[in-house]
Amino acid sequence: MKKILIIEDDLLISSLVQFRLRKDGYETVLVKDGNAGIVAIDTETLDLIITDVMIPFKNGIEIIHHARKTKPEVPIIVLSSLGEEEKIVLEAFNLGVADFIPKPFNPNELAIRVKRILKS
Amino acid sequence: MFAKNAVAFVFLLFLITKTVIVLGQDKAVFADSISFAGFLINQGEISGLEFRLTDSSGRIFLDSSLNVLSEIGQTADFKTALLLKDSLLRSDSSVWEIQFLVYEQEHAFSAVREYVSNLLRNGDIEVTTPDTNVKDYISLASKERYTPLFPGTSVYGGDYKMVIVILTISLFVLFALGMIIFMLIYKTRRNRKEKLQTLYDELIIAPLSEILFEKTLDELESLSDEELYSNFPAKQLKKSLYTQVLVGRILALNKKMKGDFKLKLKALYRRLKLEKASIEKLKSSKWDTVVMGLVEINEMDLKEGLKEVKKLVNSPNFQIRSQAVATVLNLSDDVDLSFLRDQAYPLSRWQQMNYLRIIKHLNSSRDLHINSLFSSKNQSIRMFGYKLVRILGLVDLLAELEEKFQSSADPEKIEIIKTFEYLGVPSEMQLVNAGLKSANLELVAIAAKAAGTIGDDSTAIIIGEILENAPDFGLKLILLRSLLNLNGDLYRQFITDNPTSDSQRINNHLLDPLLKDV
Repeated sequence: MKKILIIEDDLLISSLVQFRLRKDGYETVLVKDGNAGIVAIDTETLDLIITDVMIPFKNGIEIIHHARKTKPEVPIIVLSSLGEEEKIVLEAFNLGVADFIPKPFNPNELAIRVKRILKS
Repeated sequence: MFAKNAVAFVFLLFLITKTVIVLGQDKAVFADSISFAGFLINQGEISGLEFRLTDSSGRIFLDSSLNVLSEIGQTADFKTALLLKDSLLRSDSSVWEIQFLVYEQEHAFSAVREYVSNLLRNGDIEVTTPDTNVKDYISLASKERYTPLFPGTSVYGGDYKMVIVILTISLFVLFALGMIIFMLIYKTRRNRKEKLQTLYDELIIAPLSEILFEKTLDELESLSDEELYSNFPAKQLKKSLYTQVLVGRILALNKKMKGDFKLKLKALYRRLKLEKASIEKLKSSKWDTVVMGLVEINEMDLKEGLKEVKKLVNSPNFQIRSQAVATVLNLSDDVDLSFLRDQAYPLSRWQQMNYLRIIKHLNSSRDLHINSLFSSKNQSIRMFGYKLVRILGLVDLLAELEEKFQSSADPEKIEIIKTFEYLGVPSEMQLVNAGLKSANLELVAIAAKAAGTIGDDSTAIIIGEILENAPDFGLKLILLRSLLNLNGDLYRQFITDNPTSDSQRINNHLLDPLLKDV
């Protein structure tokens, strides 16, 4: 079973994403802040990381940096608001994230993208 | 536990007090036996202390004539005892000695001295002042309780400063206690509310996720009450905090989700009959509750609440008014801007931005009768109308703007000229020329700027006339820039005829290919 790490501080969003991905048969690990995200990246065997940009303690860019150093083979999907700085989004892409999903988003669309990324 | 500690504390205090007393006894009250004898002479009678005379054979002198207290010849006054001893020495061959009695028991001189010293230390006797036999007023005063000088005043109330200090301290203590109690109650309630919110969150998220992902929109709309209330119990829905959390979560999801999820959330909102509570909030006396109700109506597309919302578009409260107008514009299928025309309150820039965002979206789908704003009695509404013509590019309304120009105030004229300039309508240059002739320098500057785009030769002549009157540097720069655009010959002639430093600087600036547009 593929394991996906979800780093999102909004309980409602993270719960919905978790519910949707579990429905598709994925195992999920849910964390609410950047520090817990770093620990999860170091300790878990992951197939995909879904992270928000604005999260407590460490932002999404720092998470991506860490993941690229420690687990470069794990693809990353960034969930973020459209209002966030273009610079951050561009930096995320330059770091080699697999996909970028702006909020508001459709969880079904996210599930399809996850499926596509994990298949490839 | 508290009682035990209190008892231990009181016992400790008792021990400390006793220790102080015992330690204090080490200090000698009388320097020597002479000073003690002197004290006894001055003091007179001392409680428990008596004197009697005995000879060497132990015989006790008996005489009831000299202040003798009993038949056995004892006296309480040391001076009397001394006098008696002296008289006996003169009349009798026997040697008489003074014997000291403490509570009828014979004691040595040193023991008696210690006894009297203790009485003094404990304050059991008052020291008699020598010679004059006047009491020691300080020691007397220290033992006396204060009584007010004037009759009819109380002991504590007589000193008004003391009363003020006591009252201030009491009030402070009471206030501090009140604050502590209030904070404790507030914190307890808040903690309880937070715990309940977390609990309700957990109760809500799971069924909400299930309904959103497991049911289609049709299934959700035809869901039986039984199934619906098994996910969201009717008993819980009666609790205001549960409803508040549920509404908050639905609104938050509505903002963060897209696609059919939004429709499902709106359908669920209605199925749970939350729309009634939202409309009911509009009748609240609290402005924040009313605004929350408006936001809910707006986000959840509750068109049945429009009638109530329209009543609030001219509310004296800025937040209510802004949100009500935005809600009416968003939800109404047929409303135009004529309701905005009658607003009595000025439109802030923030409101204008907010309304513009909605109007931009609506303008493409229906006629909003923006020209109705031009006839508003409210200047800010009229100016907003002119801005809308400019931003939305409504060239068909320019003729109406031209008609309004002459009767408008200067700020409106500025907006109208900006609109003509933005839309680039040269046929309206007479308005610009009229603006150039105004006494209002701000209007002149705007007209001069517009003249560069939509003016003609007549405008260039007017600009030349204004330049002859030596305007300030900022206006001169605008005027020369427009003149250069309109008529290069006139521009060069002006620069040649006016070789001032300002003109040369402006000329260098405008002819520089890098700086000319700055």
